[in-house]
Amino acid sequence: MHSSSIAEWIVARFTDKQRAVSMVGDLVELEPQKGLLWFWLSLVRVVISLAWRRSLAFIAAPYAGLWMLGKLAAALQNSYLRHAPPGTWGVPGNLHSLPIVGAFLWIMLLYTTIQYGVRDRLTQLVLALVGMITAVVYGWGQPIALAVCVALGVCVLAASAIRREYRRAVMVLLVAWLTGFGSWMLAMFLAYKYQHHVHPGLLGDREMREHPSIGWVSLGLLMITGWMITTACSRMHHSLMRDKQLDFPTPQKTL
Amino acid sequence: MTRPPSLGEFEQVVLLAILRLDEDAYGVTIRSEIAACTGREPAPGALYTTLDRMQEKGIVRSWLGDATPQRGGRPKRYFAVTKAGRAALVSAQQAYRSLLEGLNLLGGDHA
Repeated sequence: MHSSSIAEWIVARFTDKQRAVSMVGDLVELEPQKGLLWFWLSLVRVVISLAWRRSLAFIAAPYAGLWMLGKLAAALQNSYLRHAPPGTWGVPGNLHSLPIVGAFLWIMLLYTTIQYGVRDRLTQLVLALVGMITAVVYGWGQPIALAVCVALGVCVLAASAIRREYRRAVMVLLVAWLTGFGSWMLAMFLAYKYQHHVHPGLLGDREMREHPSIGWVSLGLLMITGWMITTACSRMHHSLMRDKQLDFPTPQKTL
Repeated sequence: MTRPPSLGEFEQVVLLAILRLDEDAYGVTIRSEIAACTGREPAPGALYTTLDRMQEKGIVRSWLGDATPQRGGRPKRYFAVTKAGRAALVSAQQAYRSLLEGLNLLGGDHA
């Protein structure tokens, strides 16, 4: 494989094929004057400028999601127990899914904000939903807060259905969320199986200290869930929301 | 009437270079035009990401030209400034002109 073909393949990992071809073509055109070292150094700089946002988002979003999962779960526990009958312990199973849904949305929010910016339709939609679900978790015990958030959520989704860009954003959101949910279920199943393989029976602090791998495996599986969400988000955004009219095969005068 | 999109300094430089090059504006010529006029050669990565960002904002449009042998059979990606881009540039330059008024910087008093 010729070196420029390798360069083209590398750049195409971070942008679409047409852009990659024209960028490498520019470098190839200047290479006879500037040299091979300049060619490869320029390629590295191009790749860094194309990839830094995605790399940062890919690393930061799952971490932030896990952190928010802990925060939301603790907030829900406090809020629920304050309003539950005396003697109640723990949050019922259905309510448990609220922090998980919230954490998925937080992962998406951080990813889309870093990768696409706040002007992106998907970021705006996720931001609206994140705000509502976080308010629901924190204000769960107050019927007014709950009703307002549910009504706002319905309004946001209904308004999204009217405009094409937001309809596509809803599609991206749904696919990413479903991917996250599927990955979460699989991660929980695998973590459960591993835990029973290492230590059958109930887990307490002492058992966790004796078998630290249980915690690490669970954390790793949760991180993979986060990466599945960001990957689904990125792929769906690319296929549904990228403007297909950006490249014209022939010049069209608009000036 | 909608307000034209705001432009950063480098975006204005790139837009002016595209306008100066007219129908021959692609990566290599835009870079050399900027270098010739400003004395600074922009990093290739910065130029491409700026061009992509401006295209997403509707300030420039692009199309692929024919493949050429000196580029290893790869086509050039040509750029042109859109009406929105021209309006944004005019607005930004008018703002600069207003700020310069009365300073006589270009006349040499403060240079």
